[in-house]
Amino acid sequence: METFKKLLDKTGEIGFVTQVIDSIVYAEGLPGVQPDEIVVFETGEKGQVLSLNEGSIEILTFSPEQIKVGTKITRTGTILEFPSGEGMLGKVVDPFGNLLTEEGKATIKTTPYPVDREPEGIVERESIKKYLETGTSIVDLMIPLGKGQRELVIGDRKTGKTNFLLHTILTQAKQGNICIYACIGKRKIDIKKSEEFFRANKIMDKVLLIASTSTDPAGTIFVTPYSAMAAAEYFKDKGKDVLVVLDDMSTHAKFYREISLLGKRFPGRNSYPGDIFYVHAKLMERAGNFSTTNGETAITCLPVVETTQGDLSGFIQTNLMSMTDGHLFFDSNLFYQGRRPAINPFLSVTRVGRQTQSSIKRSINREITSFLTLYERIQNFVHFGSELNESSKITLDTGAKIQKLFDQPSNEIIPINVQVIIFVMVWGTLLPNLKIEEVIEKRKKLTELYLKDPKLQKELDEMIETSETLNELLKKTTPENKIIEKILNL
Amino acid sequence: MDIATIEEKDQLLDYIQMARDGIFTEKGIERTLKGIPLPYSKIIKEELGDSLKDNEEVKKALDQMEEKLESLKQINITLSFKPSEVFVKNIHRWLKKNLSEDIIINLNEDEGLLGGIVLSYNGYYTDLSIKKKLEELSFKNLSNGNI
Repeated sequence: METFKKLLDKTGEIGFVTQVIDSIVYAEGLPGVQPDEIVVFETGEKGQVLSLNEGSIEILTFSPEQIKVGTKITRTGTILEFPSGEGMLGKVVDPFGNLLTEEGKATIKTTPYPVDREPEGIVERESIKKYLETGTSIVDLMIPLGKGQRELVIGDRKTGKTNFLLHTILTQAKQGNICIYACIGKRKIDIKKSEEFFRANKIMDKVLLIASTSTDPAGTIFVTPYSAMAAAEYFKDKGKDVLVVLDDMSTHAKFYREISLLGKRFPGRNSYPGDIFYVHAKLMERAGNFSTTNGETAITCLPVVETTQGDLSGFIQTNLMSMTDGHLFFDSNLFYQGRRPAINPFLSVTRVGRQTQSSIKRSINREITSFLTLYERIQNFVHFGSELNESSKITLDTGAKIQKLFDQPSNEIIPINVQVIIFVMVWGTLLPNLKIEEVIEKRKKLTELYLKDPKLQKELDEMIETSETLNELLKKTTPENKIIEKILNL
Repeated sequence: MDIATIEEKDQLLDYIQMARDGIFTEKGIERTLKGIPLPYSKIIKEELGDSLKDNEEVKKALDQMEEKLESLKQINITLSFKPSEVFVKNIHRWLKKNLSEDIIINLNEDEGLLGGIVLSYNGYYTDLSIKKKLEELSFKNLSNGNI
């Protein structure tokens, strides 16, 4: 960014701050200034023009220090842009592209991408066809996601949402996809922990961490998810699929409320401004599956929103649910019962994920869903202390096993086909004498083998993908089958 | 009102307030005005005209004076030296004639300019100082390889 003096000479326009209200300043002068234009104060700080009123300009500052009345301002003639590029991968940056850590201070070649832009139209979009693997069994089998989908991650605080997201980023990065993690108004320690997680798992070269801390100005926090989306659009235009995680949008809404109230906008429901829906919707619409000159590429978006005491009917929560393609609900009751991840599959929705699944996976999905519904119903009867018949007991036993299968630590990635084959073996009672802990151990060993042995991987994938239905696959999973024999002997 | 600079305007505003405070006191407006130095008392008396007897008219006139002063347009001028009063008055006269009748000068001093003038008015900024010219000249020479 050019210095204040240079810009002043270049543009020939000057303004003076007349009123300061926290992060909003009002100024006079600058006759040619445009809305959303970036302006520079004589102290070197930047701001963005929010609105033009008669005789004054409303500016949102990005300065941690208070701007003084009388400070000179000049125009830049540009809008806010994020410096996107391959060189940004592996870095921890603020929403303006400035490096936040000591590492990688060398100059990086970047292309500026507008932070706020119109989403692509209908013609440029394609239907969601490719499957997005999260590496988490319960999601991959029951609530599948597609590349280009916007799936809301919703739940109370401390229910494992961030763990799940980091896990998903780990899976995607290991598959070679670009991941952008936007920390919106988070504590510095949380940002540091996320960075350490990526570095410890050696995926930092595929991840861009855009962070604004809780102590940053409201303007900086507000801009964070837009910067993340701008960075994603760069990679999308280069023909690469991108996963964008926005953690979290309820904080973003609160800071936008603060900015709007300071800017004397009329408060609406819960004191949020009337355009809060638009502010989030225009961001969500920038994700999707697109047809570009480099082929079909997708920006998958996982926004996060916090609930209070499991209340899904909150204002921001329902707004985001309506503008996304489904939601994953993290249930605090399941969390207290020890389930990890604490995703409630009955209260979670995926609107476009199932169309990306093959017919075998769809068949398994249907089977698990109807079975677990039955399992939940029978569990309710158990509370009454009633006598159960043999088939109910088997259902309860199998249900408990399947639920245990869905529990997995946050650093454990299970490839989808490993999940499928283990589920089918449990379902088909091929592993009747094994305790569930032993099944989980077998799954772990199979995962290691699957990732190391390309031949086994190919054979297992082929066996699964050539089956149309669960019954067909069940018929193949006999001890006589070489692959199954190998698994049984693990 | 023959006010040239921001300082004069602020001073006049203070004296208007003083006059307003004196209206409904035992002293009265006329005696209050005697306590205000020239040329400000002269300016206030000229504006009040014949309404000195009627306190309400005086108050109204003073309010209008204040409004008029607040609506004066400001031009910021930075010079490399402290100009004399005559110099300032001449500039003001020229500005009134060529720019706007309702204009006052916010005068600043910056020796670093070396000479020339820096102007800003109505949001527009122009740097016609010697310092800027020298910077441009040295940059041009450096670019051409002339050191």
